[in-house]
Amino acid sequence: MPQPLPESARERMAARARRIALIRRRVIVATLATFALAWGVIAFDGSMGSTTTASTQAATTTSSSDGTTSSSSSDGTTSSASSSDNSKSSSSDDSTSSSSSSSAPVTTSQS
Amino acid sequence: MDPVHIFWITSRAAGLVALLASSAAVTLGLLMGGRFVTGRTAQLRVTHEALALATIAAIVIHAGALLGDSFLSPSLADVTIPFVSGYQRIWTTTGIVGGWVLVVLGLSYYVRARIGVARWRVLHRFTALGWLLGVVHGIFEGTDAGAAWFLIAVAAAALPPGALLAVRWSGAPASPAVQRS
Repeated sequence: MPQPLPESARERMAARARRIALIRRRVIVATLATFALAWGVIAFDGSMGSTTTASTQAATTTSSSDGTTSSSSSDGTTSSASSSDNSKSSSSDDSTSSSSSSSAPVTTSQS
Repeated sequence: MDPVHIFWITSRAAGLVALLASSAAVTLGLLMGGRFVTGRTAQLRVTHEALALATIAAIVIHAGALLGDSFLSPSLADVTIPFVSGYQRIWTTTGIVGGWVLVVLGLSYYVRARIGVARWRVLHRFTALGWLLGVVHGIFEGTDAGAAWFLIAVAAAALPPGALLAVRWSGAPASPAVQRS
C-alpha cells in the first residue's frame, strides 16, 4: 500500500499540472489564432489561381493632328494601342477612333 | 469568395501553421538539446511537446483538406505516398517525406521506452531534417511563396532554428559552462 503524499507535495504536483495545462492551452490558442489569421490573409489576399484573359481586339486607329496614334476602347476610356495600362493612356480630342473588344476569362491553373 | 476554394485555403493555412509550429518546436528542441537555456526546462519541454502535436495536427489538416479540393482532386495516395502525385512531383514528395518524418518521429516520443531512450534520442535528431524538408516544400511549392507576407513569416520562423542547426552541425559548443559531459 503506497503512502499518501504529504500535502506540500500534492500542492506542488497540482501547481505543476496547472502550469502544464496553461502552457498547452496557450499553444492551442496561438495555433488556432495563427490558423485563423493565415486563413483570412490567404482568402482575402492570396492567389486563387491564375486567370488569363483571352481577348480579341479590333481597333481602328487614326492619326491625330500632332502625328500621334491613339485608339479608344468601347468603354469610353482612351488608351494607347500597345498597352492596356491606364497609366500610360493618352487622349486626343480630335480622335475619331473606335475599337471593340471582347474578353473571356479562362482559368488555366490553380496556383 | 468562391466556396470551391475553402479546402484549398484551409490546406494552405494549415501548411503555414505546420511550418511555423514546427519551426518553433525545432527551435525549442535545439535550445534545450544544445543547453542554450538553463532552468525552466520542464516548461520548455511541455511547450516543445505541445508545438510538436500542433505541427502534427496541422500536417494532417494540410494533407486532408487537399482531398476535398475539387480542382486538384488528389487521391489519398497522392498526398501520402512519395512520387505518386504528378503535381510538382519533386516538391510534393519533399513535403510528404518531411511530413511523415515529423509525424512519425514526433509520435515516437510516446513509445520511446519501447524503442530505447538512447536509440530514440538518435532518431529524434532527424526531426530537424523533416523540418528542413517542410521548409523546402513550402518555399518551392507553396502557392503563397511569392507573397511578401509569407516569405517574411517563414524567414522569421526559420532563421532561428536554421542558425541553431548550423551551430550544432558545426560542432561549436553552446557555452563552455554548460557543455555536455
